[in-house]
Amino acid sequence: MTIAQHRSAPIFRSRVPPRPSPMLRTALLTLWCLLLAVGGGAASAWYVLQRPAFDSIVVGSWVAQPGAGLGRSDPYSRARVAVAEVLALSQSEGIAFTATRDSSGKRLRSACRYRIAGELPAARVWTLHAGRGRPGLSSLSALFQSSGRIEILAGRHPEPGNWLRMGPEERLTFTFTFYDPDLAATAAAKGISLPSIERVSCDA
Amino acid sequence: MRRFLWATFLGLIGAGIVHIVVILMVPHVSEGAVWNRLAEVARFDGPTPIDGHDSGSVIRPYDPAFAVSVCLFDLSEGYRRVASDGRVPFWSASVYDRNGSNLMAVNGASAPNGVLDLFVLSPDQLVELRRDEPDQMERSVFAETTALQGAVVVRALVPDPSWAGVVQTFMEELRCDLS
Repeated sequence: MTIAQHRSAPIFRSRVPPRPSPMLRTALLTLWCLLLAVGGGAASAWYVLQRPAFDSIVVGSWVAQPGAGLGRSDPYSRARVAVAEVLALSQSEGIAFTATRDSSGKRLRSACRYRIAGELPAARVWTLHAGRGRPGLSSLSALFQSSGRIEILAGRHPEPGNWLRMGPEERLTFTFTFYDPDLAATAAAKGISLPSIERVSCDA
Repeated sequence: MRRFLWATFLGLIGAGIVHIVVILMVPHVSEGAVWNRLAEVARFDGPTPIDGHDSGSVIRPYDPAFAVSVCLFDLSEGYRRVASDGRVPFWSASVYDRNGSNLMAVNGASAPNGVLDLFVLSPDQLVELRRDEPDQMERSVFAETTALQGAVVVRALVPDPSWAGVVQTFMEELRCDLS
């Protein structure tokens, strides 16, 4: 019985893999095409909305992401605003720069003292704070040098001159916010200068 | 093989179309997400102070040097007048639609006399107001919007703790009157 079956099976069929029917092939190709379209389209849209805006402004250690609430009406900005689910500062109202590293690229640490010194962009008012929930400095409370430059010492213990109080948190962030900024300057943000963050000393 | 390449090609074109559709749809799908979060913390009948301390705050970015209040508006009930007689070193007011898109911003330096007196109204309401009270036009700032619902965020700078009382008075005198 089994021998007879073997004999009846043509030899060439065992060598070539069985071809799926044309209909099955069309179905599989259609499925592949749809998966690519839906999956690829959704994944790329998600990727674009998750990563930082194209127009984030990087000046030294400082990064601003004016992507949300800019009042611009291109589809990507509107989608980004919708996904963020917050009322963000509009660019005409203010622009916030955050730094998590000093000017040499080392992560900011609460055990260190930093000197933040340099020129500031034109704005009606600026504020600077470290971490959350701790009062910082503002243009109305800070002392300027005669040249218009500013020098701020940041640390956990009081310093003479402008002192930025830091907290004990491990992941330290400095945030510089400029209110009513010179729009021409922020639009051409490549040209603006922000103070450098220089590590002075560290405990332990 | 040729058919497979052709299907891949069509799939990539489809991916481009889906990408564009998703980006365009996102604001419509998530419409009201910010609005729902705002409605949880703020009121329609007056300003609500917002403490931005917690990281989930609906107002960004958090700035400890500023006191912040929010007024919600619904222009179908009538226009809104956001005003305070208080004097502070620096204030800033910003109008958003219910999706969180910023419509306009005004601050103490750009407002007439440096006083916060902002009208939020629809084009029709602006025409009416212009006809009924033409004098008002010179003294106030007008935010004309086609968005029916939205929020006004008022920020006031507290330069140092000695100003806390003055800023508190400014915020206490803040009104978001329905007219």
